Parts: sequence; C-alpha cells; structure tokens
Amino acid sequence: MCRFVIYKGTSPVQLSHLLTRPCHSIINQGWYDSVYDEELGSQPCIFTSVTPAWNNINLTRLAEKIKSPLVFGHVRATTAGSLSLDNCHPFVHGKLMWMHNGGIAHGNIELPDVAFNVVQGNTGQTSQHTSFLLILPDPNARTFTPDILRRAMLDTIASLNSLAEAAGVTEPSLMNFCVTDGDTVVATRYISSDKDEAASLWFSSGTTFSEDAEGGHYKMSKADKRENIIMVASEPLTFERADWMEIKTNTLVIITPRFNLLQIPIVDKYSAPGAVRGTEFAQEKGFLNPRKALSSFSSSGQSNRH
Amino acid sequence: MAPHPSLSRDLWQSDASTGIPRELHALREVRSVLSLAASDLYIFCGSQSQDIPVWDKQTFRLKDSLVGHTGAVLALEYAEEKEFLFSASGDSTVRIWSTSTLTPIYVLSPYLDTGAGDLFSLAWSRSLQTIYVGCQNTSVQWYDFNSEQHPVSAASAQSGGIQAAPSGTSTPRKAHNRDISPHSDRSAAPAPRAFLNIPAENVIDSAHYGYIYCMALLQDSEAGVKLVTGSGDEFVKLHAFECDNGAIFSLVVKDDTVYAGCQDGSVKVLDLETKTLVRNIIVQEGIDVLSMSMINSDLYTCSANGLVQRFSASFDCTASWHAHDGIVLSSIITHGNSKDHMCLLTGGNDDHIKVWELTSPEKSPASGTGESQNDVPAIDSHTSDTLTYALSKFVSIASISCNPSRREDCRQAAIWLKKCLIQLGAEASLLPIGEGLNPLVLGTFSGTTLKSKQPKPRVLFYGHYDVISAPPEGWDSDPFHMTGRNGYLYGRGVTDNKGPILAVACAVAHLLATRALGVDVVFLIEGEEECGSTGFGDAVRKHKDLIGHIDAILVSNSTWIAEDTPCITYGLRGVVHCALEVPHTTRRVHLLATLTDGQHQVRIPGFYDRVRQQTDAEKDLYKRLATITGRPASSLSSRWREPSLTVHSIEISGPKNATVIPGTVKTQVSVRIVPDQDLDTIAKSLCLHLENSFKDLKSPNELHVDVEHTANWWLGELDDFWFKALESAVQQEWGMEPLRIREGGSIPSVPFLEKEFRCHALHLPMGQSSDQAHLPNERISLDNLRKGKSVIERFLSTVGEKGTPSAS
Repeated sequence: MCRFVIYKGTSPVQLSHLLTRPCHSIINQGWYDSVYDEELGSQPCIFTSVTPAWNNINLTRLAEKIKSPLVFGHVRATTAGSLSLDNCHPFVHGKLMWMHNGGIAHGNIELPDVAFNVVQGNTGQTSQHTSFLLILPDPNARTFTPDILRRAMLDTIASLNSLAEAAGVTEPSLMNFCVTDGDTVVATRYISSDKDEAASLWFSSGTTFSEDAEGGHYKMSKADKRENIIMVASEPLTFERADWMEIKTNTLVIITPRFNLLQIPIVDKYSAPGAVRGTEFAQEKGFLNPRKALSSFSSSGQSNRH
Repeated sequence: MAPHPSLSRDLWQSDASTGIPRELHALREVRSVLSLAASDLYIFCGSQSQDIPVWDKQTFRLKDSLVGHTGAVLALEYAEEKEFLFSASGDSTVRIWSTSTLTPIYVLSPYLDTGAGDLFSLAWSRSLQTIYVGCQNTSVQWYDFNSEQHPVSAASAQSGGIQAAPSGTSTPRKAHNRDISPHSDRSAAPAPRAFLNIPAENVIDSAHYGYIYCMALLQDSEAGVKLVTGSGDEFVKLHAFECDNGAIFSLVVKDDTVYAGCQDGSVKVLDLETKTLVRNIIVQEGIDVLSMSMINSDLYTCSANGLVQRFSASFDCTASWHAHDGIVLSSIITHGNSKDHMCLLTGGNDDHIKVWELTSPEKSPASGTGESQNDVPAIDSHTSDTLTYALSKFVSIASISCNPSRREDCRQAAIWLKKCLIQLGAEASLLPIGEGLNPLVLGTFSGTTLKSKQPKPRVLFYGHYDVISAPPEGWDSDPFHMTGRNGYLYGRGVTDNKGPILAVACAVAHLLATRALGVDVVFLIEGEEECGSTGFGDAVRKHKDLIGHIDAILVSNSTWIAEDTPCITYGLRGVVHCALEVPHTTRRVHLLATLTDGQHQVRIPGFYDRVRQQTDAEKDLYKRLATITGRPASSLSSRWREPSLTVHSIEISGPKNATVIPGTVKTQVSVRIVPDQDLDTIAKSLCLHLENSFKDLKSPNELHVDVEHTANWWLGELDDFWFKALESAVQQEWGMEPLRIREGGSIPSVPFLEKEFRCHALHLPMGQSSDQAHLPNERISLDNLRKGKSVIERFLSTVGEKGTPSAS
C-alpha cells in the first residue's frame, strides 16, 4: 500500500488517475486549485478520512471531478496516537502543505508544541510539522524560494536530531518529510543513522502519465527532453521498472517551479557515501519497499503487456 | 512599449545574411525525435519509441531499424573511426551498434544500472577511446574501450551466471536478463556480441544535483580531454559556472568556448580559459533552447516553439525560420549526400526529421569529431555596431524621470539596461530605492581571475538612464528615434547619458570576450539624476554589500570644452538650492537685494573666506584654454572655480500688475560653491543671512527658508595612478594630450560616491561642447562615441595589468 505520493505537473491531473484508479490507491490528500481564484486564495484543499479508500464512494466520485497541478496523497498506516481526522496528513498552514512518512524515535523528548493552534493533534507527527514551521523565517510569507524551503527542511532535521541527542535517544528516526508552497516541493529520504537505510522513497518524471493497460496499470512516457510531470512516492505507483528511480538515503529532493528535479545529498554526521546500509531497521518498522519487491511487480507487469 | 531587449541584431532579413537554409527533405518518424546522429552513409534517429530507424543519406529511404532498447532513445553519439553508434535510453542501457553492418555489438550497463535511471547524454572521446554517459541519478559515468576489461560474452550472460568482474575491480552483478533478452516479437533481432559494465571507479556520484541533460568534450592537446556537463540544476560544470537562468538543455563547445542553451531561452557563452561568462544571447525570451549545433562560427539554436535560429560570431541573428510544428528537440550538422555541402538535421515532436541545406559554409568544416581548427570569433569588427544598435534601442525608451506619466518608461529603461548588461556578460539586478522612485541598475562584470591570488581592482562606473524631457519643438527628428546625420547620432540621451553608458559597457564586454578584462567593473546606473538624484545616497548605503569594495569611480557625464580636443574633467562646483516664501505680504520686500552688492559680490558673511586661491599653474591652464575656446580666461575661472549666486525665479500670487501688492512671494535661489567652501556652513550662513536681513527690514511678514537640495563640490586627484592611466589612454587613442577642464555645474553623486567608497573619482567626457545636452537636437559624434569606448578599453587594460595600485 502506498503511504504517500506527490504529483506536480505542468497541467492539472484528474485526482482519480493518481488516487483512486491506480492499483495502489490512497485516501488522505491535499491539492491546489488548477486556476487561481482570488476568493478561494492560494491555500490547498484537504480531504481526510479514517475509512479505507476502497470503501469511500464519495472520494471516488470527487476524484473523478477534481483536477489539480499539485497533489499530496497520504495513507496513515501507523497506530501511534489516536485515529481521528485531526491527525491525518497532509497538514496545512497558509499556503504550505506538509506530510511525512516514517517515525521519530521519542525517548523522553519534549517536542515543541507552540503551533498547536495551527495543527490540531497529539502525535509526534504534528510536532514535526510544528518544528518545521518554527524554523521557517516567515511561515506566513506570500512566497517561498526553493532555497528557503530547502534550508528550513534541513534545519528541521538538524533540530530534531539535536533534540533526540540531548534526550539520549539512540534509536534512529525515520524522517521522510515533504513540504510544498504550491510552487516548489521539497522532500527528504532521511534516517538519523549511518548504518541503516531510510524509509523508501521513489521518483518518476516524464511528459505524460496514463493508463497503459486495463485495471489501473499506469505508465509514464517521455516525449520531450524536459519534464512535464514529476512524481515522488514512498513506493512505485506504476508497474514500469524504468519509470521509477529510488532516491538515495539521506538525500533531499527539490521539484523546482520550473520542473527540474534536484537530488541533493544531505551532508551531516549520518551521511556515509559508498557505505552499504542495512535494510532491516526500516523493514522492521514497515517503511521499506525494496527493489526486490518491485522486481516482482515489474515482471508481472511485463507479462501482462505481452 | 519598450523595445525588445535582445542586443543580437536581426540581420536575417538584410543583405548581411546568407539566407535561410533550404529544406532539402523531411523524414517521417513515428514519435517525438529526441536525438539524431549521422555517419557518412546514414542518418540515425532516437525517439520516444524504442527502435532506432536508419535512413540512407543518398536516397533518404528507410534502410533499417536498430532493435533492442526497451525505452525511449534519449541520446545518440557516433564514433567515426570505430564505426560505432552509441545509443542511450530510458531503459538505463547504452547500446553500441556497428554503423557498417547495422548490427548490435555491445550492451553497456551503467554502474548500479537500476539506480542510474534514464541516460540523457553521451560524449565520445576519440583520443581516450572512452564513452561518457550523463544519468538521471545525477552521476556521470564512463567506459574505457582501451582498458583491460574483458567483456562478458553474450552466451555467459544469457545463461544467467554471475559476470566476471572486469579487472577484478567492479562488484559482481547479475546480468539483467529482462532488459537484454529479446522480446518474443523481436527474436529475429541479432544478439549483441557482449555485455559490458561500467565499474564502480568510473562513476562520479552527484556530479550535479539535477539530471545531466547534455555533455560535450573539449579536446585539449596539452591538458588532455575535459568534459563539460549541463544539468537541470542550472549549472554547467567543469569550472562550475552558474547559469541562474534555468536548466541547461544543450551544450556545444568550440575551442575554449562553451555555449550553453538554457531553459529561459538564452544561450550563455562561457570562456573556459578565463572562466568567465562573456555573453548571454537572448534567443527568445522564455522559450527553452533544447538543442544547438555549430559549424565554423555559426551557431544554430533549436527552440521549444519550433524556431531554428542562426547566430554569427558577433552574436547577431543571421537566420530564423519555423522548422517544426511543435518542439525542436534535436539537431546535428553532417555532410549532405554529396560531400561538398553540409546539412543541418533537426528533429521535433511533430514526428519529423528535417534536412536543411547549409549554403554558406565559409570553409570546409572539421570532420565530425569536434576536433577542429576553428577560427577565433571575429567579435571585434561588430562590437561598434552592437554599440549603436543598443543605443538606438535605449534612446527609444522615453525615460523622462521628472515627468510622473513617464514612470513606466523609466522602469522599462531600467529593465532594458539590466538585460543589456546581462547580455554583455554582467550579472545585473534592479535595486529599489523607494516608493515612487526609479530603481538603480546594478551590473557587475567580473574580470579574469588572476593567477596570483592578488585581488582584482574594482572600478565603479556611475551613470544615469533617465533623461530630461524633449518637447518636439526645435528638433529636426523624433527625439526618441535615434537618427544618424553627417557623422552624428541625434536623440534625447545620446550624450547625456545613454551613449556614454553603452560605450563603457561595450568596452568592458569587448575586453571580457577577448580575455583582457583584468578588473571588475561595477555599473551603478540611476534613474533620478535629472531630478536631483533623490534617494540615491540612501540606496547606495543600503546596498553597499552588493556593490562591494571599490578602488576607483568612473563617470562620463559631461562634454568637452570645445569641438576638437579631448578633455578630462577634474572639478565640479557644488550647489545649495534654496526656496524662499513670504506669505501674507503686506508690503513690498526687497530681501533679494540684500544678497549681492553693486559689484555682484555675494554679501553673505564669510562667503569667500575659504575659497581656494588660484595657483600660477592654474592661471596658465586658463590662459591656454582661453586660446582654444576663444573665451576669456576670466570667464572660465569664474564659472569653474568661483562661487556664485543665482536668483532663478520670483513667483507672485494675484494679478501680476504693479498696482496690486501680491499676497505671497516665492523665489528660488541657488548658490554654487567651490573648493574649499564647506557645504553645510554655506547653507547655514545663507539661511541665517536671509533671516537676519529680513529682520532688518522690520517687515511684519513671515519668511520661510527651505534648503531643497545640495551637492558638494568635487575636485579630482591629478597625480594619482588612475588619473594618469586615464590621461594616457586618451592620449594614445586621440594622439593628443587631453585638456584638463572643470565644470561650472554639479553632479551630487560624484563627491558622494568618493566619500562613501573612500576612493577617487575620474570624469571622462565623451562628447563635444556642441552636443546640446538638455537642448533640442541633442547629439553625439559617432567618432567620439567609438573612440570613447576605445579610451575606456585602453584605460581598463592598463589598470588591469598593473593590478591594485595600493602603493600609489
């Protein structure tokens, strides 16, 4: 099951292509309007539900009738905290939308809760959102540059690390975070460990994303040097092997407003270039979709086509 | 409506152009044409579909199809001497084909093939026998065909065994049967001879942050081969040039010059020797440049709107035509079907390949490998034309700062100038100076990095892009349409100050392009000069960090004293502008009469105390100048070096006849000050004198005195290194010693900048005394403009060679 997906395209996508029709469907989502409307403003719309996607007839109906150039989709699969609509990703503050996948090792850390009036909730997730907002120079700014969002993201990770360190937490934290202001998307695949793989994160880019075979088998195609569509997901959303690239552990990716995907290594004491990381930790936590699993998908996908 | 910012002249409709290439043939492909290559016999096409069609060059008939890839073919590269065609694909493999037998030879997999993603770009080095691959995972990888690595035979790979590690260096990996084994419907296709793997040590991870869209090789016999790469992260790498105009989609290299086609529709011209950006060609604003090809000194650019354009060595556009319905994605230049002419091949997402006959190769091109005997671009002969072409555009923007309805024109002039400086190789930006005020244009040309770590001298050039108004009365031609007559260019601003600004900019650009710029030149061009430079001082102080350290200030904002002898200005008077108002007048006032006496001497107490005495040398100078100008020496000295007082206007309310005493009297008074009068002291004593005189009149009225604006005097340093360098530059260019002159007028920014940056200012007038600045028929001699540019080049060369004159 897909835990999260990000879509950014030069033209808006019908939500159903992303969220309900592919085999991997997800339920909680936030999206920006495809046409700016002064009255509606520039903040995204959020849809959350505690029931499974395949049970939600209203979601299916809505997804057929809404188009958006930038969508965050999220499935809440953890059991930590209470299961209520207030705790469902994605979170919104003004123009900003945030979600994450993974888990913060708690120990006895007291995480900052200053922005509780912004984000209602009582799990670690909201606290990360809070600290992210705290670290932005101006969370209410009208625009953010890719650089400001990148630095805020790195500062947030660094501050969570130092909080954990100060509290003597030794267990690594999985920090796959995503934030967008509607123009730029910044996402991380990160773990506070130099020995383990982070929760998985993949991306795909191309010019069109369409149903290649019946039954929700989607394919990305490439008819230009440039990218019109960039997707980031916790696991591949289509069956085409070549469509998806794994983002390296401890890397920050940026989808720029001009549709360039940048992959920037996060350099800190947990970066271990060249080292082989173990997959057990993330797998144990249920956050790894390794290549092996994908390969089996891939061959079945091909046999379907031939 | 502002003119188009491009400084590239559209020559393609004129005689200078050799015409638009003739379309010889069109080839139909099934899907978007992403890449092209050609051998002597064939044309190869990489497209969104997986197979590579092969056309016969003679007949343009489809000859064959190279079958094997399972993803779009994103790049093709031809190695002539090996008869290899390399194809890079979205299936994360490079396939190598024989161009004689049209059969597969090898399949090359990148290191961590599944992690490398799409393979976007290829470059073949003949001398190193190495293929370079640019990947989606931001790595650059290469495979050396000279190396000891033993390719694994197809048979052993097919059997699914573990591959032998070449030279024992790479990690053993499982062959990817899925990619390699032919699909059932393709079983007829011949299998490749062997499977090759790129070893771990032939990988540069994170070579960029973005996808590596394009690469090119620099063949350098001394230093070996250098690889240049361009990426979605907005960098061209080799020396990490930042091109902050968007992703780099295409690259061509000629000698030590790299042309980078960018996302925003420009081409950056980078000089690798000096590590500088020498020019930024605006191809089409906002329309991505996706492919480029070069032959001799002609650059062909392919844009996302279907246009192909040709640019000459002087960066002029010499051809422009609609080549495809849609996006032009790829291009190459190759021999035509007979070897006597060259063809440009372009491929688009309209599923077509077009063959264009290039009619005018000035000389036979280098054999398709990129190792060529190319000539140095003839930049020199055209820069003057760029100067006048640019000036005609600049003049056409009516940037009249004192007229609020021209506010938008002023803004357009600032934007235009910024883009102009960027095209000439500067980094430029607009600096806001306050609500309702025209922004400053800041442009920095970075000189060549000196080998020694000695800091480069930095020269600040100050000028203004705003002009005085130009009512059409008295003009022989439209003031905002530059016209050339009898050796003069006419138009508002040609001499004050747009012409000199562009002459200096073109001089710097020329030095940059010829690797001769040894200084940084910072352009600081304001838009409020004709309105008293409001806000200038505060803005400069605020943005001082952006401007940086400055060693000398250069200004070119006045004219010679006569027609035929070049001059250098070394002094300006200062000024105190004062407004007086007497409301509710009940009696006539004679206040103004108290300002001067019968001998026209200013009666303000202490006014003359600090006026510097004339030296004998100065007296001799005035005598000499008097013979040249035909004006008495006393008139020169009183205008340049003596203070004066002027009553500009007396405005009275009510019916302006003598029988009625007016209700309010307003008047404007100004005092010109000279060395060593103190600006503040004079301003205060002027006010005090007026108030005291008013009291003495025992008038029942009130007096309002308001000092509206002030400017300090300025006197240059005649003995310093900079002045001497400028003087000798003028001497060399004009073949005569320049006259040292002063001005009776004021430029407040000059003394201000000297004080702020703690260095000396230099003032080089370019035009002649008959230039009519601020008057109808403003003009500048073309000769003066061009020689002015040359003087600046000589001056900057001298100060660049000598380094920072800290000792002087």
